[in-house]
Amino acid sequence: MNKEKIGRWALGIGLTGLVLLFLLGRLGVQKETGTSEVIQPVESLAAKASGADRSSPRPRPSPQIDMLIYYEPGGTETSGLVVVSFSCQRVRNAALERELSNRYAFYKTKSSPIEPVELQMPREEWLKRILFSVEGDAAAGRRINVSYAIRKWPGKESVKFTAFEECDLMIEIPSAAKPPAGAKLSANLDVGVASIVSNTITVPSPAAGPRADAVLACRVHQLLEAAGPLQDAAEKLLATDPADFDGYWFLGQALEMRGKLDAALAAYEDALKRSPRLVKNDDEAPFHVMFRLQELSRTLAEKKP
Amino acid sequence: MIERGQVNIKNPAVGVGLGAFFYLALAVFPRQSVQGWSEPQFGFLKGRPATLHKIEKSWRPIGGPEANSITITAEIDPLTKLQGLFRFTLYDVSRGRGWCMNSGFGEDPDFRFVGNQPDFLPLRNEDGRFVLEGTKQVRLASIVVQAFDSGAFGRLKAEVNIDGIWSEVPADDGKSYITLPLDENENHIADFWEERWGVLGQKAVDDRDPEPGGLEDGDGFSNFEEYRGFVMKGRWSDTWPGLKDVFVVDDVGRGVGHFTKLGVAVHFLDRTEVSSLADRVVNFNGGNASAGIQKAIYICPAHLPETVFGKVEPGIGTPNVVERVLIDAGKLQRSSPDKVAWALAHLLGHAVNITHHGDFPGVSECDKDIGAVGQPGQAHAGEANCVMRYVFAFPYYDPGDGTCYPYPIEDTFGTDYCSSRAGTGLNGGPSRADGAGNPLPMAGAGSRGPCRSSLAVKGSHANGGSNK
Repeated sequence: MNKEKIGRWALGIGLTGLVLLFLLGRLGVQKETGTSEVIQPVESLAAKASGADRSSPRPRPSPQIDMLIYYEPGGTETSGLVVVSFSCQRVRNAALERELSNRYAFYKTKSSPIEPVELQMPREEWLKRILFSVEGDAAAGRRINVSYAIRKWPGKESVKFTAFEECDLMIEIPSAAKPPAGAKLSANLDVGVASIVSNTITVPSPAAGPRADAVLACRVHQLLEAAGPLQDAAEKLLATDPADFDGYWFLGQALEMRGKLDAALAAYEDALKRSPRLVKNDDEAPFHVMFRLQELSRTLAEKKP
Repeated sequence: MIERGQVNIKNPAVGVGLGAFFYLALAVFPRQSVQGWSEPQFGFLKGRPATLHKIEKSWRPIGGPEANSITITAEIDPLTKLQGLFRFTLYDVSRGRGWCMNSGFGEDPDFRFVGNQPDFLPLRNEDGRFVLEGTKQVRLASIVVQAFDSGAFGRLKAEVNIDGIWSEVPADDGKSYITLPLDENENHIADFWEERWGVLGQKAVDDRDPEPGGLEDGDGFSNFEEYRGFVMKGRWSDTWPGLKDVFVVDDVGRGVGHFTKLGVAVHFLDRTEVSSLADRVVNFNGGNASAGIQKAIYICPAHLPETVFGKVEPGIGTPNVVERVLIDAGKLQRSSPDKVAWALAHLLGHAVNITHHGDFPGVSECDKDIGAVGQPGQAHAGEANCVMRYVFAFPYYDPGDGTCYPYPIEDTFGTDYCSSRAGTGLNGGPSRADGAGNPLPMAGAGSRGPCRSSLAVKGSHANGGSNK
């Protein structure tokens, strides 16, 4: 075999090798990227109760999805509200690491793939599968009541938790079924293959006096965007104290919900005049009131001919 | 004329082809290697009858659910055609609490021989030294050591019995032992890790993290602690010793907003991954080469007065000082994403020692004297896009003419942290009037900061200042 033939063979083998290496590299990249991790109920609650499917894996604690609850106790005559937030902080960690690798060239080797977590669950299953428990009753999984209602849904049946996506449920608890003050409240979401456990919160003591009671009622009405009850409660608050910052703030919110923007602007200005004096450097100004003032001022200015 | 041993290549394609061929050959058939084997086989004995081989440089111990192991080999020079009984001793083994900085408990030895290894007697424990002795005459013996801690360190020596005489088997470098992991400066951190992150030559206890800049270097975690690593939302990882790490327990679930713009490495932790929510210590399994305790930031849902969106308790400072970042979760529900991202970054800025750009002094000339009046050098001053600058002052005060003006309407939430006290946007530029005839700039330069220079994550700095 002459030198030219050897050269052609070597060139051919070399190029074939390069193509193979390229393909192997592509395979590696695809493997790293992966697909989302899907969690979905594998058995119905009824089947579980009857023991029809004993081969299903037992629910286990899952760190993959974070369920955080927050409780608005409401006034004595109003409902309570549990806000349940779902997010995936593990995915957030991966996203933050990627952000660092983009910022710092030397950090490249630390970057790891982001694997979104997907929770697929029909709307009707959310209510069935969330169990609230108070301290001591967690093992029994006793519901604290059966009459609560979901007021805000995730909006879709499949929620994919990426780094910055979360979803909230709002669960209204009638005043007669509220957990007692001091109780440790937590929630558990059974998704079959996993059991997601929330943080534990302490139910606050009842409002001390009519003013505090009215404020708590306003907060629930505000979250439920119930303009009428909110305005009633705000006016009740102002009746107890005509110089109450909170009263004007809630009144402004109610009026804004009802589209009465001029009146809302005036209420916000009244609220700002009555906000507490800031003393220390780390005091925080009521910027959300100022923000509403600016937004409303802008909207009204745009409406004027 | 071509002589023996020379190759004459005239055609460039031949050269390219040969290069590609050898590249391919190396990629597909890498040099045969045995785990635990760091030297080529040729000449490794250097005149000694037997050698204990150093372990692979790139190996490091990992504990916990992903615990790993390493194979270690000793052998007799094949030229001697001898065989012997080998005995391995594992000693000076660390006993760190748990298996990384924030997981596990117990202080058992961090390295152990894997039990029931073929052709070895049962494991013996001789006053904390683990001994594994062979039962079969061999030329080459390999044993497996299991790691139980990501910061495990220890020493291993070998002996060989040839013709009834025990003798020490020296390591490749002539020492009487090898270190686990490979750690020539014996500071208990694998050498490759120190080289990789540029801290070779530093002490294990050093805490220098220069990036991002700020009041001082360091993040409260020593090089050894960053090497030993942390469990973050159920996953173990080491951290980079050149970058300030901030750990967050988030019970609100809205993330950290624009806080990441600071360039610190933010890691979310589970509630069980700190000592307790009250103490918040992240490196609670510390001991060896510790830089002291370092705490996480706890973002906590709270009912706050309607005037307040969130606050830090007890006041501005480092994560060791700030006990809680309180956020009114009810207000988050009714806020736009840009407002939430601003508020989180603002409050978390306070939790790493960054203050407002100034105070909130009252102005008697202003009708709405609520202490949030925009005025030169105070909280609304400075770089317009800084998250620590207060937005939407109502009204603002011009000391030049002693007039209170309604705040310029066009203002937006900041998205970053300032590097200078200078006023920009509505706080900077030449004297001018806005569309409504109000004088600009509004508040000029800030009187504190710049924010990036106040950043501190370790120690007990408070209110933007130096250590208490």
